[in-house]
Amino acid sequence: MAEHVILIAGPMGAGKTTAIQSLSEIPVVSTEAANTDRATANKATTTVALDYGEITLDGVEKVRLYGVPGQRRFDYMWRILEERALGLILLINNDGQDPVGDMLELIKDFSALQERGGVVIGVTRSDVQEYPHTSQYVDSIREVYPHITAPVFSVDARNRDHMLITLTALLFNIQAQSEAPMEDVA
Amino acid sequence: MRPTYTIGFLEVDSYHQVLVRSMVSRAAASLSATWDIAETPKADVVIHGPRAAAKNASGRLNVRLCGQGEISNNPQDLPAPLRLSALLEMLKRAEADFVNTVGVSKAPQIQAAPQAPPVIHETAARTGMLILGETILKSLASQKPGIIKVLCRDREALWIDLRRRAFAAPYALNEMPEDADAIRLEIIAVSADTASPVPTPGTSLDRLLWHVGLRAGAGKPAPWVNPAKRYKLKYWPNFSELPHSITHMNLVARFGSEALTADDASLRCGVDIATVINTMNALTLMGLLNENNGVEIRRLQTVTQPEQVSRVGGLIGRFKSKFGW
Repeated sequence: MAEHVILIAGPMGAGKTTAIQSLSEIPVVSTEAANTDRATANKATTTVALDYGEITLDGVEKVRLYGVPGQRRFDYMWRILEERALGLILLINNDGQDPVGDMLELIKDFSALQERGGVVIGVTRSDVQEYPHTSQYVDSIREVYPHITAPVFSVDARNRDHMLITLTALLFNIQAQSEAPMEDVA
Repeated sequence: MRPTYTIGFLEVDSYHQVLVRSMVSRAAASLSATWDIAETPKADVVIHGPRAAAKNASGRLNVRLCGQGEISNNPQDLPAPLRLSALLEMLKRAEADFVNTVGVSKAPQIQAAPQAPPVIHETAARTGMLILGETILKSLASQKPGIIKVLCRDREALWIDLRRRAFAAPYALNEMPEDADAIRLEIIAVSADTASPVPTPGTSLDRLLWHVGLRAGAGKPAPWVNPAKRYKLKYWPNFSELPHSITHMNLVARFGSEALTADDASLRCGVDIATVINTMNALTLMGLLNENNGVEIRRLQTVTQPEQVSRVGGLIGRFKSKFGW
C-alpha cells in the first residue's frame, strides 16, 4: 500500500489536533495530557506525543497525517518524522506572543522540507487577533528566505475546506519545485 | 556516428513529460540514437496529449498519448498507462524511419529544436472590468492612492479605499456588470483627514482585484500584462479567501517555482492559454506576479526528481478524483 506522510507542526495552541480532526477520515488518535504550561496556551490539555489521522485514496493509498507536539523539548521526534515526510503544514496562531518569529524558527527547524517546497503556512486565530496580517508573514519569509515562495493562508483549523486548500497547495508546490530547472541569478 | 534526435510535447501534462524523460533515460542503452527532450513542441518526435488538436502536428513523427481508459486501434497511439516497452518500440520505429529518410551519415547532430514562432496574443476589449482594473492600478501607482466610487446601473455605489486596501460592496461581486457602458467610475481626491467610505475593517482589496483581474481580459491579455515576457510569482494569494479552482493553484505553484511566459505556463500545466492569461491578468493586478526583468536564468541542470514528481503528480490526481475537483 502506498503511503504519504504529511506533518502538521506549530506552537502549542495553533490548532494542530483540530486540523487533523478536520482532515482525517478516521477518529483521530491523540495523546493528550493535562497542560501544565497555561501561560503559553490557555487550554486544559495538550498533545504530548503524536496526533494521528488518515485520508484513504482509491481504497489502497493512504495519506498519514501526523501532528507533532509543539513544545521544543520534543524536537527529536520532528527529526524522525521529517525523514519520512512528503511535506509540512505549519500552523501558527496569530494570537501567540511572537507568531512571525515562531514561524521563522519552525521553517528553519524543518529546513530540509522547506528547501524542496514542502512547507505551507496556515495562520490560525486571525479572527481573534487581526494583526499581524498574512502579508507580514509573507514579507518576513521573503526577507529571510528570498529563494522560496511558501504559500501563506489564513485558515480556520476547524474548516475542512481551508485545510484541504492548504494540503492541495502543499502538493502543487512540491510538484512545481521538483520539476523546476535550477536557477542561477547572474 | 550516433545520431541525435529530439522529443517534444504538445499539451502533455507534466507528469507524463517527466515519465517520458525518465523512460528515455532508462532506455538509452537499447536505442541506436541519442534522444534529447526539446524545450519546445517542435521536435523530431512530437508526443501529443489526448486532447491536442491533430492540426498542430509539427514533428517528423507525431504520436498521440491515449487518455486514461481509452482504447485506440491506431498503431501510432501510445496506450495508457504508458509503458516503457511501448515508448521504446515507438522510438525504434522513429529511428528506422529517420535513417531511411536521410541516411545515418546525414542524420542531424544535436539539433536544438527550432524556436517556435512567437505567438501573437490579441489584446483585450475595453470592458468595464478592464477599465476598473486600469483605474485601480493607476491610482495605486500614484503618490496619493485615493478613493474610487464604482456606480453600476440600478445599484448602490461600491466604494474602494486604496489607502486601506479595502472595499465595501452592497452586492455580490458576481452581480457586477462587465460591460463598459454599465459601469461609471468616480475618482475622489483625498487629504489626510478624508474619512473612509468603507466601514472598518471592510473587505480585502485582493478579493476585488482577483475578481476584476480574472474577467478583465476575457481570455486576452490586459494592458498591464505582456504574455510574451517571463513572469515570476512574488508570493501566493491567500486562497482561503478567494474563490478559485485547482487550475489556479497549479498555475500559481508553477509561477512560484520558475519564471514563465503565458505559453510556457500553458504547456507546463496543460491548461488552455485563455485560463493562463486570465490568471496572469489577476495576479499581476494584485501585484503578485512580476516581470522577470534583469534576472538571467541559466538552465544549469534539470533538478527534476522523477520519482518525487510522479509520486506527487499521482497523489494530486487521486485527490482530484476523490474530492471531485
